[in-house]
Amino acid sequence: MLTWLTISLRNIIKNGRRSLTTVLAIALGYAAINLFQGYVHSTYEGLTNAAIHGEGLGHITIFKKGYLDQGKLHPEKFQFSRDEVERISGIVRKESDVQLVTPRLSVSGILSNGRNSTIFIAEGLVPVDDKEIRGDLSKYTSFSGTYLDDREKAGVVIGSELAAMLDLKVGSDAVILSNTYSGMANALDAKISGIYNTGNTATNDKMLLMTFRHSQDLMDFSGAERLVVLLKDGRNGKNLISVTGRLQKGLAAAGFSVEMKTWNELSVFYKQVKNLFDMIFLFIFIIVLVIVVMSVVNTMSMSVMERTREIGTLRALGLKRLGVKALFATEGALLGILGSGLGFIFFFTVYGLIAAAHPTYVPPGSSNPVPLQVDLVWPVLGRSVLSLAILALLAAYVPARRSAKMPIVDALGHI
Amino acid sequence: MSILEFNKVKKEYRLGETTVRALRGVDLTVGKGEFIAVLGASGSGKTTLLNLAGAIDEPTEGEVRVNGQAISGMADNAKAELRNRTIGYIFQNFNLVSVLTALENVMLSLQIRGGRTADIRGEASQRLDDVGLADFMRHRPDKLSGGQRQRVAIARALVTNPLLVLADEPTANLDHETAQSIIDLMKELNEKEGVTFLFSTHDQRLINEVKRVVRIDDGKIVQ
Repeated sequence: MLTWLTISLRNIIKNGRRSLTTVLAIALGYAAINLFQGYVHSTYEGLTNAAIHGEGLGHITIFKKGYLDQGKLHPEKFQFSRDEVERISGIVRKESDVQLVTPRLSVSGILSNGRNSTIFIAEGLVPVDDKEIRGDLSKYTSFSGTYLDDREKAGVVIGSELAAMLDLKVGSDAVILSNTYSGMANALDAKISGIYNTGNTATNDKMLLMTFRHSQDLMDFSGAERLVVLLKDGRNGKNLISVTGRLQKGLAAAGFSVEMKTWNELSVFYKQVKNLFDMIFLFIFIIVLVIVVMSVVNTMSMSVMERTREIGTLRALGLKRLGVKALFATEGALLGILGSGLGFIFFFTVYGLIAAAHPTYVPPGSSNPVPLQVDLVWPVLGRSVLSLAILALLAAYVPARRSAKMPIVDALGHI
Repeated sequence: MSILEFNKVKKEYRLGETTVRALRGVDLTVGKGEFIAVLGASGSGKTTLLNLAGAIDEPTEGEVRVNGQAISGMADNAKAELRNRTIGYIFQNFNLVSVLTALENVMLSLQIRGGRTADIRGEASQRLDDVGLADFMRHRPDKLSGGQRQRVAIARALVTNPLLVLADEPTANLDHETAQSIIDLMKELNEKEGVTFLFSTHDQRLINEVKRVVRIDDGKIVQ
């Protein structure tokens, strides 16, 4: 094997210019794939955090069975009563991976400044729990004023576009109007305690956050629409599925008929972006794959043609067909490894430049600029080396197979 | 005991629309320790005969036996092993691997067979020493003269201790003096080590040294 490696490496060096072209093609492919993967990884991480913490979806949401299908038409039929909220919360808290379980109530209606009014969509949340889920809002979005506080029951936090539309400032008084579950109109006073940018142009002009108790008063209801579960740090991923399964089992055993959705099932934006990026990645990967394969096939075909007599000689000396294939496949794999090695350097050069320059951009649908970030994903970097080496090996196998099949007499007579 | 037997061997090639009859019923037996020259004009069938003897080609008709084994119908891997263990080749154009040193070229045949690298290196060094190239082991073919390259090729052919060494015009590309030294070397190996040589040549000096001449004309042995 060492001899084949020696022959391969020396032939790569001997045909320096040709090898360099192939190695560069592989290197650029490696760098492109990994830079994009790093960017996608960073984006997924950001979107995951935005969905779980920023949107406040938590990891798991528990609904009454049937809510997702008919809850919008008959919301009154698919709400948890206060007693159910307490009992379900008690069962969920027993799960060791759970950090927090909190009730939520969705509300929609009209917000008025006394002169003008516009529609709003609102979430009624327990301020102390929500702070644990979202963390400090001001850290990742522009926020002015103070956050919700149970001591200020009428305090609301609204999207910055909504505030602008109604000329509401922190400290302004407003009126919120909605229909209760029994169909009665209900209006309550509200005080603008905070204004923030939701980060999404679709919600920034209608989002309103209010205390859970305030939302219950508005809906004239003592229960909750759903329960949001936050898992302990690092318990996302595979744990999410198993925890969901265990909770489902535990609640069913206690006689509750519920359905659960994980954050990635609920976040439409995450799913759309992920599908789009997965498609772009596939597209880039196919382009790189074609370039690498064509480049290696071309290089190895020329190498095989130039070394036909050498192949004949080796076969005459007793080398089996498999040996000839192994010889050229080794050379292909070496090109793949050298290309990946150079690609590794390219990747880190661009990675370093991005890290130093801190570029930002405004993604579609977002109202805030976000940093262009590339993550270091070591398993992907390693797997790419292996993938490109195998790809180059397979690409080299095609001309190698052809050469191994050539009659020895013809190969020896080749000029 | 015969090392090589040709029984009514015919070999035909297709060359475009034409069928070339390279051998037309050849009978030949080569015994151990023989030093045989195959003579004939260009296109008479010398190289075809050597190719069949070396199990790198198959007869169209008849039977070729190398060390008692019929090569027709033999699996490709079995033929490869037969070539590696039984036959040594010396090519007219030396056919050395350009990116390997003289020593690495000689090691090749043994490495194909398999074994400990240290042992293989020792045997290859010894063979290079035998052909007078002890000081040129680390040289690549492009740094060696024509005679030195052919000596490396001879060392490579002999390193596996083959029963039969085939040489296709081994002195054709060498100057007078170098050719003489190669002839002397082959003769010496034949006499001292009992290596069997079968070679095609036009070189009269080489013909003068042989014990037996096989003359081939238009695909038939005439002498």
